[in-house]
Amino acid sequence: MDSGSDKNIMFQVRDGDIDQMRHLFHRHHVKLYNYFVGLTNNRTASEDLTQEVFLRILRFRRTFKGSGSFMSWMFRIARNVGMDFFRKQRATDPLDELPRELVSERPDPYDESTAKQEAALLRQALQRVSLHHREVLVMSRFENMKVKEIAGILNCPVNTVKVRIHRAIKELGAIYQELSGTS
Amino acid sequence: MKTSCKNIQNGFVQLLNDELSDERKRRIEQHLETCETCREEFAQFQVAWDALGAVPREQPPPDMTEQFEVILRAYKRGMREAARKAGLIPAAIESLKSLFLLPAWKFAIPVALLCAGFLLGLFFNSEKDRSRFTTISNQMDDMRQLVMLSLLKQESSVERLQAVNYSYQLQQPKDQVRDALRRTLTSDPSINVRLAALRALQPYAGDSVVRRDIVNSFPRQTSPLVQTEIIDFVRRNEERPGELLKILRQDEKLNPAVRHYLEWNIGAIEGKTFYKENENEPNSNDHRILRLPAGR
Repeated sequence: MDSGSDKNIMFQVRDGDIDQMRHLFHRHHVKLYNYFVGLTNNRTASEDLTQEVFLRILRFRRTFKGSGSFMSWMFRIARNVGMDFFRKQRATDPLDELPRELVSERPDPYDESTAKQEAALLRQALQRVSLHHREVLVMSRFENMKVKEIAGILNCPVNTVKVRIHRAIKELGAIYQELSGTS
Repeated sequence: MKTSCKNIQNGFVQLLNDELSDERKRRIEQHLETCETCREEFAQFQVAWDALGAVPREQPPPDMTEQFEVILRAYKRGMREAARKAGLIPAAIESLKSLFLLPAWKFAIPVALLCAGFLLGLFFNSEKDRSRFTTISNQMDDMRQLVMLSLLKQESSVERLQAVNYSYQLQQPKDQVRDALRRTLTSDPSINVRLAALRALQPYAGDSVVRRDIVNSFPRQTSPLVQTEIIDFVRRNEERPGELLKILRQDEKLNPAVRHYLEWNIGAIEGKTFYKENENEPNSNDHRILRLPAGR
């Protein structure tokens, strides 16, 4: 399956070898899917959004210059896809701000382990964190991105990302405590 | 809070991510030894940080790869179509090739040949059996419709996509099929299925109810992809597309790329935009404008 670095594969796609997209899909679709699940807490939407990222990569393949990493370029597209989704969602149904799918899957305390319950509660808390805080948390913690990489994707100074992550963690902690009734 | 404390606290993320130089790391650690506020802050930060790291990753549904293959094939078909229009390759051969590569056809072709043989046998056997031929043919069509409607209710979006594609094979689609496609366009959770439904509704474009439904679904569509396809549909099928597109433009919360595409189309209808057949690539910096190439 492997046929070189992401960047080399993307160059081949850019030059018209569309079939090479399969390699990029196999390498990154789980990562992107988790990015969108972290942002939306909605599996069905995350599936569609992930597919849309690959569709946009195909559509805009000629704009790939290779000056930065492929990952940064891909996540910039993913971010646009995510923002379009939230913008549209707000426009259609303001009550849908909190995606329902996974939120409703609050585990049964008798059936689930404590770790699973905590994870579910944390995901629930994450959905209440403001979107610009949530996205840096998902990038740094779910996608293991460095602060500098995130700054590149968001097109902002490194310090802004550091401040944002710090505030995001505080916001998340407060919401988590409120939800778990430990405040 | 002192400025230095603020700087130290903003560095927590890099400390835990191991992104700091030894010097900077040492400075933060020294500060933590002497500042109780920052020490408490760090402890809280670390708890939340670790908890987030322990959240298990989700596994995407297994049919996602298959869905991607469908998209990839559709995209390639669109590219070939565009190339054919430009007169670069004999597209008829290419389209036929790609059609026969589809898994559904691998199964459908032998079945169709078998049925055709059976029906032809009946036909040539006796002139009297003409009416039987028609009856069987109608029954098969009914069966296909049933299969299509049942597939449309499946959980897997790949199966729903197949259902929509089935509609092309129906010789005398009933109103049920049309209505199922209308519902799919407005309520299916998958963008790909909605897109396919929109294209499958093209044969019903003469029906004003269908056209009205499609246009009414525009503000509810969450995908700019589907919206741009609806704009194309309006242009193709409405007598006065400009007036309708202007109404759609009134939506203040419209995606900027879709608005741009709407404006462009209104301009083209009014003769203000110069249009070249193959000049549909987006601006090099615009990652937002998106349209599938014509898949059919």
